[in-house]
Amino acid sequence: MCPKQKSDTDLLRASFSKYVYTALCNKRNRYLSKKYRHDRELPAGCNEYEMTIDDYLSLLNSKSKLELQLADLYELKATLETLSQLEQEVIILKIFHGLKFHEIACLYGKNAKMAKNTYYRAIAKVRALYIERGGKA
Amino acid sequence: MIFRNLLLEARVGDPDCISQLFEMYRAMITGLAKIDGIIDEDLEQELFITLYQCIEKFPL
Repeated sequence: MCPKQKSDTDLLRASFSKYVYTALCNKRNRYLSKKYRHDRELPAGCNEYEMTIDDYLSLLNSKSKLELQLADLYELKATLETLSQLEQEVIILKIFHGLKFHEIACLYGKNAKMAKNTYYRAIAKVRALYIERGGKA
Repeated sequence: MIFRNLLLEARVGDPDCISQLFEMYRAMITGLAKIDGIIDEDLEQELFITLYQCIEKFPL
């Protein structure tokens, strides 16, 4: 397989993976809404999958589980926004959705090592930028 | 086999290609089918059906 063909295959696979992931998450949410429609409390995480990156960033402002001051949250939000789209998505999939590295890799049609590297690189970037901006480590 | 061909073959009903795609996305489906750490088998089945529909509907 020539490099261009390989690249096209990777792109198609990543695009198909995102398509599948969105469809599966929507199906899961519909299934859980139907199953638990009489219950007040849905199982943890069942509504999180249709949220966008912006929703997550605003969630950080509104009801973060981290015990941070509001000023720190703004710093953290600004820092997260400096990351690339891929890095933001990997962090969200790993931290908010609790996906494993091989599951994230599957979404992008890459191997688990790529997901792991991207995640830790992003975390290191966030940490460095956050400290640089004056936040506490 | 390149991915486009795999999808096209799966669409026309090649069982090997379908099972290859199912294996590829099994981990993702199992992860999403977990509710409070326990796999909901009905949901898992629904998700596999959704994957099959995605194979048929994905615009190539």
